[in-house]
Amino acid sequence: MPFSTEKVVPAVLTQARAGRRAAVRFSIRRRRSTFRVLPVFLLLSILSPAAAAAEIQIEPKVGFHGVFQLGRPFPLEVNLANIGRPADGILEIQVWKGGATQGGVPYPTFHRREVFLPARSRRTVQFTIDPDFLSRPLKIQFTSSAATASRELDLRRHFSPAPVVLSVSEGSAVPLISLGASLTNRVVALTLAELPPEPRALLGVSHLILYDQSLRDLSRAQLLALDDWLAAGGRMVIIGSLNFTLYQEPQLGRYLPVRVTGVKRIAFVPHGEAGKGKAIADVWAQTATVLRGKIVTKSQGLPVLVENDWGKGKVVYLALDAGRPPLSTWNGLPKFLQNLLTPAVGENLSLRPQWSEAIFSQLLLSPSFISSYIPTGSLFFATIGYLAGVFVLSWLWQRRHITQRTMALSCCGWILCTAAAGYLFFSRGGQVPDGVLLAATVMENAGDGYVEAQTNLALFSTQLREYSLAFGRGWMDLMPLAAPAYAQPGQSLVYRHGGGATRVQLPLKEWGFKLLRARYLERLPLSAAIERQGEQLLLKVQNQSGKDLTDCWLVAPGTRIALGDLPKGESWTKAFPLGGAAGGDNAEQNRGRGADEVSLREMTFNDKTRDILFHASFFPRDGAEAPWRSGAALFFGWVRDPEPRVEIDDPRIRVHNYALYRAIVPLAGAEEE
Amino acid sequence: MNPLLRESLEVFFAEGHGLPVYFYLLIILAPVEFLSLYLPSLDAQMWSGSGNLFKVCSSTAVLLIVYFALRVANQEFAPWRFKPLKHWLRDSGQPAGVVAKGQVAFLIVHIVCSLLLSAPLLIWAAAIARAPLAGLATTLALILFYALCYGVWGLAALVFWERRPESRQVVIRCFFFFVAVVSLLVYLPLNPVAYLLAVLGRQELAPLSIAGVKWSANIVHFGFHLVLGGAGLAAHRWALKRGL
Repeated sequence: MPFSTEKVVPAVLTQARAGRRAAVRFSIRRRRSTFRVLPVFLLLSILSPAAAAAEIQIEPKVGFHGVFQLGRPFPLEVNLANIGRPADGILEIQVWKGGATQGGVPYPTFHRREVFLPARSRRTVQFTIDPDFLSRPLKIQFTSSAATASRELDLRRHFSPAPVVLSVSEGSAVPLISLGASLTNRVVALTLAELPPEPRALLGVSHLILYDQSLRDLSRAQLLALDDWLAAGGRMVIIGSLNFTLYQEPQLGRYLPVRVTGVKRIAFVPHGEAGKGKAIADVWAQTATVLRGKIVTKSQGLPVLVENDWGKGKVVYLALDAGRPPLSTWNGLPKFLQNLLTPAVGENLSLRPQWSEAIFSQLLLSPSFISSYIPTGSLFFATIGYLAGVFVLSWLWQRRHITQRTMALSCCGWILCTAAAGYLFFSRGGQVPDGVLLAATVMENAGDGYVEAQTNLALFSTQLREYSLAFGRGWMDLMPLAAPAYAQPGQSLVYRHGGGATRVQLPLKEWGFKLLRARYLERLPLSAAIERQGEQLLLKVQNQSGKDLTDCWLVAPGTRIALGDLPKGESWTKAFPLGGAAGGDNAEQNRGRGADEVSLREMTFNDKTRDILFHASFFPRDGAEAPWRSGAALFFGWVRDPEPRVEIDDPRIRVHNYALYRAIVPLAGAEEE
Repeated sequence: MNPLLRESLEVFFAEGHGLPVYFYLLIILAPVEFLSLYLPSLDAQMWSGSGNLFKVCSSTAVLLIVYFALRVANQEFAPWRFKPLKHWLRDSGQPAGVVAKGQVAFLIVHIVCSLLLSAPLLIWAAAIARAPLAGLATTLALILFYALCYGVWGLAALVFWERRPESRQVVIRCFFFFVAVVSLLVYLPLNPVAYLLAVLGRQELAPLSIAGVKWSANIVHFGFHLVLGGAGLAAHRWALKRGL
């Protein structure tokens, strides 16, 4: 075959061109496809961090299944769900306090807790909150570097004006279904796990009804919360059931005033309106022996209804099984059960110690108190020293003992030295504290070894700084004194929860102060009882606490007796003639006064601060409705070196603790006289 | 050295005729400082007894230093020891400018001495009341400024009524109280004490509104005092020239 270069070369060239064109086309196609894919990559690169970031969802649960009593603390459960990467942040609840109902300006309080949420996790955080008004929403916020989430909650549809009744029952709350309709209180059925671990959260609960329920699964915190709630005035109603072994468990047994031994059928004859005396046969009833308390109702020799005091509260035990026939089908059951839910005795507000800016200003006016935070002595001597130096120099100059140059240099040197030294001493040294915390406590016997302590607190700052107060076990309430309407806005409280304690953060300006009230219930083996026996007063005081009682007094209409000190571990049983016939060195007669009024006016102690607290706060003179104005006997004594109820753990804050134990007993027969 | 300044220094410090001024200043300021700790008051959420210590001391120092500056400028202390203006202007042939400079220089020396002597008490009060150093420096500068602005009127009164010392005394006292009261009544930030308290309390002062135009309180305050001091200096210089 002949080879023609003329033909071959163009063909090769054509092929080469075609190949080049194809390569260019491919390259263009590749670039086009790259440009098409690029936005997808860009989009992915933008979205990928978001996909990796934490995403938090907040789900709150208010009160007890959405119900709480207005004006009382209640539990708030916040469920946090993280569907992204781990988040370490702060969960904050903003609650509004003050406002028109409290006679002050509204201000926010913040409850904060540090929360770590692992990737794709859920966590439940419990708070106890206490808003003063509900017109502003509750704000829940989680803030972390990884994510932020917030949620607002309108509490207005959750509140109840009356206290809540809780019922805890293993199977069902059969006896309570009919009860709910006849009560003004909201009845809420809970599981055991839903009981809050803080006693404060139960303060809006009037009664807790236990039926056919084991308490084995109750945590220690929940048990302690129940103890403290009972001591604070809560009422527990334990209704018996056929499963009597549940009632023999120690967790439930500690509340029972009886020891349950078994169960049997009895004929129960209800008394009062509920039953109209008609017997109900074959009712299941637990057999038990009474350990403590008072038997209210007996039937066929069995204690059917037993009541026992628990601090200021009460435990009521009903031996009958109200959840099973024939009692569960009885028409009078709701009325009968309702009779068990007697309301607690309301707090006597006249017994509360007074606390106000006027009282605090009286304390601050006291020279002994001023010198505790201001170096008055140092300032006095510094001033005298400075003036003396100037006068000596001028005298030397007048007497021509020093030259003009020496005089000028000495004068300038003296002024500069004293000014600089004084500035350093008064601003950094001189034992001037950053702040002063005054805690004035009145303790009263709450029964069963419990003491109710009402503490007035004043935190006063000489510096611009934040203070952190820790409240130990047993604190029930903390109320900042309502800031008056003219006060500066922006005063807020921050509660920091965590580590098993709650701390209150208080930012204060220089020379600013904050007044607070706190209430505690704690075990303290200190009790005083006064009885009237004819024309005599019998006083029994037992001081098994670790503190001495000093400057003790017994005051009754017409009698005022100084008893001296009662050391720790000792007790007194003393009888005194009533009505001014006491005699003796320590007795003072109060003739010329009202027969029922005890005289506290002239009482003084060896401490000006104690005098002010006693007359202005603990036993205010203007307390017209106070029991000591109308025929009551008083016993009181100062607790030596009382335990600080508020821990501040800062040596730069000076703490003054005052505590008075008192017992006020209305004298039987005083009114008749 | 200026002959008038030398004479004033001689009479006041070398002979000791001026020392009672500083004695009065210290003996009033020191008890005010100490007792104000024991005369406390409680404001809304603020314990003002010790917190107001520096304010109380500064206000007292302003009033005392301005008042004594007026009296010293007016030659109320040992007036017989000072040569009359006629001597300086005519017999010694000193020009009016030299006489004016000498008198102003001595006024400044006196004000600085007063400030120096009261400085430790003010500094201690600032330390106790936790007042910032900037506030302290501002207070000292303001006291110097006010004492100069008001003190020059003492010099003017001295030249105007040199031969009638009783009239002079009445005039400068009336002037002192008149300016203090009128400034309080007309526009509060004009008053030195009110202004100083506002500065120390970090308060916003209301602007002065005239015919719809608003003037900053600071401008009005310093403008007023600069005009007052300038007018005093001008009147002093004019009176000296008239005396020639």
